[in-house]
Amino acid sequence: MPSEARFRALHAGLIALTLLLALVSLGLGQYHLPIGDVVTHLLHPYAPNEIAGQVVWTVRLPRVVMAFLCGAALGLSGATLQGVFRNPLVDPHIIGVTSGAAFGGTLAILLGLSPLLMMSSTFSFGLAALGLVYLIATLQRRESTLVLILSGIILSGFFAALVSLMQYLADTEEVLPNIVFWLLGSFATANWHKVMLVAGPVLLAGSVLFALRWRINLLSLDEKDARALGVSIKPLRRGVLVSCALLVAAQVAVSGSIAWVGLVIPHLARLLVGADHRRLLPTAFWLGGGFMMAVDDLARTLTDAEIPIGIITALVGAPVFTFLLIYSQRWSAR
Amino acid sequence: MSRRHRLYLCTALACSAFFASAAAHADRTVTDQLGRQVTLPDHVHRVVVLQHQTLNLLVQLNAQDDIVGVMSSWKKQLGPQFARFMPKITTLPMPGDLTQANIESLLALHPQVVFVANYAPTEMIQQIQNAGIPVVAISLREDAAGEKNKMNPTMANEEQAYNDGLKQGIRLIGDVVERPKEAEALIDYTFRARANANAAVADIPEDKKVRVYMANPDLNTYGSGKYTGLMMKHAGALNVAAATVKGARQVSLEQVLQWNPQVIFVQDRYPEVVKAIESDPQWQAIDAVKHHRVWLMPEYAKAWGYPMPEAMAIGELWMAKKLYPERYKDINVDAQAQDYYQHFYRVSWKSHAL
Amino acid sequence: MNTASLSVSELLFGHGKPLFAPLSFACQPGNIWAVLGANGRGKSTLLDTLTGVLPVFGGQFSIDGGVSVVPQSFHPAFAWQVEDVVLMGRARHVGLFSQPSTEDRQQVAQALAQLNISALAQQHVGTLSGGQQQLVMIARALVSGSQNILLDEPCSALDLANQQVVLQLISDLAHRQQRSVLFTTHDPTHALQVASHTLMLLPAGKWLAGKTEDVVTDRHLLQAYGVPVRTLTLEDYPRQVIAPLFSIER
Repeated sequence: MPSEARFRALHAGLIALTLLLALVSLGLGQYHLPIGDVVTHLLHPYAPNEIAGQVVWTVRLPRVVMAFLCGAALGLSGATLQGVFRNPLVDPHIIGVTSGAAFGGTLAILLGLSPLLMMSSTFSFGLAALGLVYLIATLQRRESTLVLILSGIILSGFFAALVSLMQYLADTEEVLPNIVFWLLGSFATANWHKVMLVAGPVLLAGSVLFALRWRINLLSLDEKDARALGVSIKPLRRGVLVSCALLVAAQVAVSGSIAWVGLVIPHLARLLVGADHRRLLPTAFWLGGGFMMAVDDLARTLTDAEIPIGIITALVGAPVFTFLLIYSQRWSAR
Repeated sequence: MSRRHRLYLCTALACSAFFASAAAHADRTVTDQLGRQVTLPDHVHRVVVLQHQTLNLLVQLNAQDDIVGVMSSWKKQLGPQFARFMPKITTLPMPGDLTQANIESLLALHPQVVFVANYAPTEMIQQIQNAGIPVVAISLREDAAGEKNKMNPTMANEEQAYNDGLKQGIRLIGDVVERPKEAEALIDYTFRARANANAAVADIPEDKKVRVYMANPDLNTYGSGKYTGLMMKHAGALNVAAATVKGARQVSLEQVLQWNPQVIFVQDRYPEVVKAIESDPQWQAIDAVKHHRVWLMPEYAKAWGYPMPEAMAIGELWMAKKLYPERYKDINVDAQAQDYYQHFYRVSWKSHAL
Repeated sequence: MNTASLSVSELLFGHGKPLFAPLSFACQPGNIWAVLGANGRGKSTLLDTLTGVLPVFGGQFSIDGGVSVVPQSFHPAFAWQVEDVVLMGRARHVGLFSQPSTEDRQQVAQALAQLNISALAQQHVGTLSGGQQQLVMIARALVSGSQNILLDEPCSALDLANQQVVLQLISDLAHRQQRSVLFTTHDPTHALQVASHTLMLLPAGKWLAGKTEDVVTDRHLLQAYGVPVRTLTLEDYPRQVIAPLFSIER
């Protein structure tokens, strides 16, 4: 099929572009390093005690990798969730995981927990939020997408209120600034340890979603339709939602809550390759990773200090989304 | 997988190699106010300061020439007038702030030590330390073990915690930048001046103390566990918020109305608060506002959560005289301020308010 | 091959409570059953029950060889292409973690060719006409390889030309492919045209099932719809047609 070949070419091009972007990102930073030096240090990891090598291997490389993984996680989960909930306006926040994770992190800062405990708290509360969503759905004895969305909204609201409570309880001089900064999201303290922590869930949940990518097409049908086609919706949807929760919780645990990426990237991907999730999911994965790396480049080079990345994704994401909405109408009308 | 192991290994090697080389030059160890053992080079001339209290102290220790990077919010925290003590501050790079740092900007400055607040995120401290730059955390407060980086630590004796903490902090900073004599001089002057100033109001009984409220913007104030309350105590006053509020917090107008303070003080860095309170109809019922006792404090009266030597040495005196003028009839506070400023800021004291 | 592929025995179905007296009938391969009944009587509910979407209150039904449904309408949430939609019909043949194979894609191409809509393969379903969408839905049911095909009001939204196409298809499915076909309609002429058997759903929980010529009579239709009808036999046309006798007051 000609379109298959075209997609393969596009996919390969996207991967190549992302890798190129990663390389360029490694060359950017406040510590001035010509790109030639960067490449040299990449090829010679055993270079002795040079700051340049250290900047490349312990500062930039883990950060670029982490930005990529987090962006890819958000793009993938956003595309999946839009399919599951049959609604292109869905964002990974819809299942309440982001708010739950934000609460876990804020609580940890308030209590002064160690970084490892903080990440565990964030991750656990994120997954717990999904559990609560299902609990509410079960109590209603219905598990339709509408019920799940409403439960997600309820829980997001609840956890957001708890986060506000934590902020209120926090010392305004010593603790509140920490909380505010963390909530806005940042890759500033990226290290290899954190990369491992996020790589695990991303690779695991990502593989599951990737293998299910055709089934997710079926999930986006009417419930009646899908049932009639022989698809057991509830277990499939549960598995998919748990995978998405893993992705989102891991991302928030290592970098705080980052908005807009999970909403905008799937739309961009859909414009490029269409609605078939066999193509959409990998495209959203690579686009999300590339986008996040680019935005993080801005976050760490626009000023001397660090700009929280959530600010930039919102400032960039909102106009891009508007643009997509306007032009997708025009393009699909043709 | 083996590729990842190799990656880990060479990262570890690079780090350890760097540390090995760093250790060769480093010669001394200090204990910072988070209880951390920090290894420093013998001679330190390149310092990055990511905490405004430490910045203030470094200037008073005459070490400002060693500063190569400051926190980005210094203007907000210390007031733009601070630049007159250290003109070059306006041109310095700002690689971070109290709660975040751009590690590459830091590395580009090649600092030999970074001063951070005790409440800087642990991750930030770890990241800077892992990059081979020593980090010294300052709290100006002697906390019990385990409470050192918590908000609102429980303090058995606030007075002692802050007195000892300030001395420890000044000595630590002086040690790091090799200004031990200046550090001792600062401590000596401060505590003697304070003892002199406080004498006149030391005997006022609790129920006769003037009731004072510290007004920060947006109904924020300082409760117990902060130096603010101690400053008021030394000035013979009572912090109305200390009994029920812990730490720096936003309170409600009703609470302020209930406390009905006799005097409201506003810090020099928030002049707009005075106007806001005086013109706000909701505040008019308060004793302090009725009797026009809403006062902007001078620059040196830093009634902050953390103690500053100028606040102890002359700030408390200013406050005491303001509240009990008859007990300080012969004392010229401006002259005292002038003396302090010439000694430690090396400029003249100019009051721009009151 | 005279065993029924879809047999219903004393079935009680509905929303909340049973709509009809216990229902029994059986579809043999090669038979076409028309389900007649007034709007809202319960035709779609029956189909939903037979596909497992709605629970059963009593009795049972058994299905041999799988069942597929051609829904009345299709409202996609996304801009699917026709061949992707038809491919979804292969759901039962593709493993949980697998992707559709060449075989699956070939089935899709065959079904599209069979229905003469191969040219529409890459178009977005949302841009098609009602009739074309119906054909796409039928193609989707075809590729599932099910023995039993249920169509929910396949002709209701179609013009006469498209109704002709669909009725012919229904006939082909049964007679050329030996499937069991059941379709709902509220036009009794369709039953006379193409159905070998008819199930008529009557008011007050009653029903009739049997050969079309026995069930589709003027008297039964008056009972079912409340409008008198006349069955007409035409000289130059093999089948009878039903003419409704509306009474309009001026």
